[in-house]
Amino acid sequence: MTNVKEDRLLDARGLLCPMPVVKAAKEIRGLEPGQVLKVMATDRGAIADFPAWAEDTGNPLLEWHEEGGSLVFWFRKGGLGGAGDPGSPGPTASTGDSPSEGSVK
Amino acid sequence: MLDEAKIGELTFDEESVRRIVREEIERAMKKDPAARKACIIASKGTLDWAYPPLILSTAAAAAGMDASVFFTFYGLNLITKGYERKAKVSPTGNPAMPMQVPVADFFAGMPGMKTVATSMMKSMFNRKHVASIGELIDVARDTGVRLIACQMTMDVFGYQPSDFIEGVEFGGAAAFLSQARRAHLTLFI
Repeated sequence: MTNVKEDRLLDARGLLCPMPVVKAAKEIRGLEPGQVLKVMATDRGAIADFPAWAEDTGNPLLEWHEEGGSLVFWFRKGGLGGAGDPGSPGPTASTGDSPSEGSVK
Repeated sequence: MLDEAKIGELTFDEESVRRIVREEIERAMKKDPAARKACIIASKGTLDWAYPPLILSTAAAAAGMDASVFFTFYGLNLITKGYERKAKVSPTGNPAMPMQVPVADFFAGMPGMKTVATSMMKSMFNRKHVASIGELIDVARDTGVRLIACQMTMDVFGYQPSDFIEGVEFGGAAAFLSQARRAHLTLFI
């Protein structure tokens, strides 16, 4: 068991790819940086998908394990501005960067 | 050989220089807008082939990417109104399709087999709780996936803009390429 207390719980049990990741992305958008999202899933693909999603979106996966036939994941919402944090999920990142594209030294 | 580097008054040993360079490269790569862009072509219109472009584009959007799907040729069907009711999958020429009852090639082409195969696939997907095509299209629109219909195919096959679901954009090869050249992830499905 983990001693992390979640701020929000997403029950994605019974859902298959890509829905657990799609729903997690939607849920985490409603959290403040530093808050924790707990996700329960039964899709075995989530074991590979959630760590990859966490890295891509900058919402670190704190821990995961199996619990009574379910996979349970804990993510901390990123965006606190720490090193290596590419920011929170959303389409803003690419548009925000494009104006400076030509001026890179 | 690099033993140390001097910048103004400061001196860096080799290890520090390597670390600084590595960190700068990592920082630059994270800022690369192309790493956050996915451009997918959907060229097939059968029920089985409707899934990959929609699953990948919605997963890309969920991962914070700016995703677009360009629907061309038979792929155009996917974004027409009422697609899901009309979508079919054929066992003909599709020997890898898992059938609950083995069907000889000769019978696979018989009238009605397409309907049988389609309802089998729909019920199998439904039983396993795979999202329906309609749900995936809704997710795509809700999460900002751009759905672009190929204007040339529309003209050739006689589609009108009103044949398509809401939110569809229209464009040609140049419009796709102009986005695809700015994306590391491009797929033809």
